[in-house]
Amino acid sequence: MTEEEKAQLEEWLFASEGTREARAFALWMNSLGVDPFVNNLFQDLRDGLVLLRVMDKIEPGIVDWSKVNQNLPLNRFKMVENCNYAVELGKKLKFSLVGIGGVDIVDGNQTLTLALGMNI
Amino acid sequence: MNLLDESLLIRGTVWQMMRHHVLSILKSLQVGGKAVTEDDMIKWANGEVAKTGKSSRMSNFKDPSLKTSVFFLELLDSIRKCVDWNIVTPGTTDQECTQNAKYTISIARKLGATIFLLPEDIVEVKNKMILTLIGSLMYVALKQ
Repeated sequence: MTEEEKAQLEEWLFASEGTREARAFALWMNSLGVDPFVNNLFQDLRDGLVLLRVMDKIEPGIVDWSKVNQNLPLNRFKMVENCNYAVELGKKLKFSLVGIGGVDIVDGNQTLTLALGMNI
Repeated sequence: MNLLDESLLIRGTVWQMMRHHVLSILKSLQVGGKAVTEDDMIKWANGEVAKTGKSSRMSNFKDPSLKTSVFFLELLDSIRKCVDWNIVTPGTTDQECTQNAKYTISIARKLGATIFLLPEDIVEVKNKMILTLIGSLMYVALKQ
């Protein structure tokens, strides 16, 4: 990230625009040392790379980077592969992602609903 | 219209990751060989602040006095001298409270704490979110 992008991110993290949820995600990822995005969180997550980077932070070593498509720009199929891999790892961590495939992440299938919220 | 902007799936996945992370941090905290309870966390936070001779205390995660962030700033300062008290406001208005909350989060990030909450969660005294903040700070402090 350039200095300018960092300054933009910083501003956005604390700005009151953007949904509360997106800003919470962004602050969290940023505090993990993953710079998620500059413009639009969900847009920038769909190539799966940020998800995998975050996954690797919360469970160090879980991501086998040789299985990840990292040469940008990624085409749609490579994005789906990455997202599928993220879903596969999520299952390993016992996430409740029943019925979700990488295609759904890339395409943003809204018919599937998930339990959102942190029921700690 | 861009469907991806509102993708429930990405949101769901991220939430699950965040939840997993909160739980793994809380599970890793141990007091006397046992996983910490909420009471242990409160006792720890109050003890840290008391050590530096400050008088503010939290009675629980819903304590309305937490709204001003002053307690959190004193806690951060006790973990590592890092708070510039000239910047801290008395927290008499919501605007002042928000300013302190932003400062709290900035410092917590600098200390390497994982951040799960937003400034407005502090100002609104969202108890579960405040629990995550104390948990993250305890994790950083115990690792030191």
